[in-house]
Amino acid sequence: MTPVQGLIRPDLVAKIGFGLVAAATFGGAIIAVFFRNIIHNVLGLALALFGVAGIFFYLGSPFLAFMELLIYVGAITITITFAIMLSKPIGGPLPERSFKKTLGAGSVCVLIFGLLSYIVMGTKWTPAAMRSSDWSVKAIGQMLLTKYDLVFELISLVLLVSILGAIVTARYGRGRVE
Amino acid sequence: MNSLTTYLLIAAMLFTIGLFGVLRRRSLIAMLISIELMLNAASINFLAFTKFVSPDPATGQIYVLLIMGVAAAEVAIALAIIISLYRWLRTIDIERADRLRG
Amino acid sequence: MDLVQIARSNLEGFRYAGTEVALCVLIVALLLSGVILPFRKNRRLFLIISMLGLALAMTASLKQPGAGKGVRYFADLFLWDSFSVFFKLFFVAAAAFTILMAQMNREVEDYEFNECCLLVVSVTLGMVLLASSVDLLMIYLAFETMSLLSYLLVGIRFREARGGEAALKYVLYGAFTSGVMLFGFSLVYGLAGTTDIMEIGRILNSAHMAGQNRALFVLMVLFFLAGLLFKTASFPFHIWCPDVYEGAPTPVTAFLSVGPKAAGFAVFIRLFYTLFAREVGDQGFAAIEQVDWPAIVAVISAITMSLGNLSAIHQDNVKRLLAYSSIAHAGYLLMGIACLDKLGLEAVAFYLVVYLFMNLGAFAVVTAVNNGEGGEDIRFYRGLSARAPMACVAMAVFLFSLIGIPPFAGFVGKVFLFSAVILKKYYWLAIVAAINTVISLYYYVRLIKAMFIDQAEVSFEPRVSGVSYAVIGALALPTLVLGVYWQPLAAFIESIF
Repeated sequence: MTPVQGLIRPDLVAKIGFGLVAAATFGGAIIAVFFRNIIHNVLGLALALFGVAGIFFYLGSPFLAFMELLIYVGAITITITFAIMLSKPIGGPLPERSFKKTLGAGSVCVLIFGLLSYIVMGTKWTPAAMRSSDWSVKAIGQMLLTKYDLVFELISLVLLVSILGAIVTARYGRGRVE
Repeated sequence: MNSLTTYLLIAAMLFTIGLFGVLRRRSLIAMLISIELMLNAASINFLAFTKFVSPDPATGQIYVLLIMGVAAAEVAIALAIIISLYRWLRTIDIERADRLRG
Repeated sequence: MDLVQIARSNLEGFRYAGTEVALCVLIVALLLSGVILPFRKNRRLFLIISMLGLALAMTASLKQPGAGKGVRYFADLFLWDSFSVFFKLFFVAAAAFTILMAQMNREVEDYEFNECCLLVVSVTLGMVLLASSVDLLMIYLAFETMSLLSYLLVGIRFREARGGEAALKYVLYGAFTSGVMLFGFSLVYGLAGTTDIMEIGRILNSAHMAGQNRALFVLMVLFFLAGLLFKTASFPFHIWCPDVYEGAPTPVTAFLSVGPKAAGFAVFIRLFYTLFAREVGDQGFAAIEQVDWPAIVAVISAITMSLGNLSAIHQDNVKRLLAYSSIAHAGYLLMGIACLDKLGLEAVAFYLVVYLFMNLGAFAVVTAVNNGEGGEDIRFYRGLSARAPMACVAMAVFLFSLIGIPPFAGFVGKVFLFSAVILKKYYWLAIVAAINTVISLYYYVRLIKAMFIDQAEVSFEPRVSGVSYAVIGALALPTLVLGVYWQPLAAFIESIF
């Protein structure tokens, strides 16, 4: 064992990694909500979603982590960026709500967070008696095409009709372009 | 290595930040971004419970996949509407979009 | 379960999924015909295709399950019982009337008629799935199918900024409330470890939950309520309702005020009576000990109906007036849910059927008047009876029924609701509802007075087509008949709970 290998302790690395992931999530979320420039908000959202992908990784589902990157970071934030570019020249930030309203919203949120953390810590979450440990993608695939095949079909139908509807909406928005 | 509580607290925090954004922001796109944060908080909850509580790992993961699919459709629809509304209003600000009496 | 076994049970499930299959076939037919045919010239053809498909769906859902608890199908995601069959019929009927109403005037133009039919049918598919699903995963997906596509339905009219604003408010409030509800779902999932709501209900109602955190249950109920109250347009998530109803094309407004609202009530009953209550004895239910949600629902019901009726008083736009009236009716319907017994649920189901006819009828008349030079403001209605007597008489019937005056169907529905509430000894709620009925008298009668007594302000010739008369007649007939001969429907509804 070389001295360097002795210094790197896997559990410590894992802990530091988790700290980074959590920091990215919160940092991104705060940028996404508190900053005034809408482009900063989208970048913050992307950062937060990277963090969430990391959390999924730590929760033992690399598949979902990649899906999060693909769908959320890759598709949703890009779509939002496009919308910003198409709909608003990047100018000055919008005036925000009055201080009083912000204070009200803030106290509601602090209250809800307090309640949620009280609940999270005060509840006994009982694990099920029999627990399968099959976290493979194969298991997900099998479930998607057997038990949840209707779910799979329905979400494709929803996506198809929403894309159609989105096209129709955006097209007629231009006036009667045939 | 982390306990269930850690993940649930992270999710609760993310949910609250998103909620604050929805209540406070005026810009429509910023509200949409905040809603995405709330949906992600729910996803973390689902996966954490799948890891620590649920008997079957696949169900929770499929639920999270489903949330992503729905969120993608939702964003596509919202943005299509925002873009075409923009052509009428030339600004995206919910309090200026108040020609309809609230 | 073995995978092969699941696959086989999925195939068997098609025996119970006739409605869903028919609606899917219709969706594909509309998609293909919209692509192949020149969509500007074939309005009538699209109408015929939709009607045939919906008739097929209607026939497919006529098969009644016998007594007992129903059959689970599609890997236990769905339940085929009388409750779901009732709501399937209800939603398909609402969709059929909506598409007929879209044919009545030019609010939905030729070039968007195909998409309009497609979206209405897709939303109906979502509602039908919602009524029969008993799995949190499927409930969420069906709920979102219904919501997402109804956002598009509202936004389809983009010749005016109004439609866009309404759609946008709808999307943002809807996405927000369903996100909150989803968080509630995740907590329930964590507590029970499964997504099957029957199973969850058993676990939540079992004795070893008694020591659990009360705050958790309170929060779960509140988070669930957020999504459901939004869909039913109840306090405190009713703010979107008047704007969306005013901004959307009138047939779409009519659809939203009946379809998704009833779907909201269906899933409300399904979720709350399964998760947070258990059957006690033959007729009653008992709420879980941790949170007294019937009391919460009762208070929300009282606030919703008062708010709806008080805001309706000053409305000059008939669509906004009907929007507030629909908020008020959500309040009346919530009374039945708060009752926590089978009588209350039967009253809700009966009132929903009556509401389908009278509310769609009122909107059908609004659609007809909106044709040509007409509009939706009350001044277009002044003195209208001289020029369109039949439509005005029908409108009067619908409005009297909405007030709850005998001998119209609304009266019978209200009697059922009130008696359920009084038998449950919610006297204060009954009094609030009675006061509200009196308040509502004012603004409904004001509209009737405008039509029959006032002098005409705007001279325009209402063009009420044959289709319009047929639709209005088809809706007025049950409103009249159910007012005097309600026993068969009441007996049918009694059999579903």
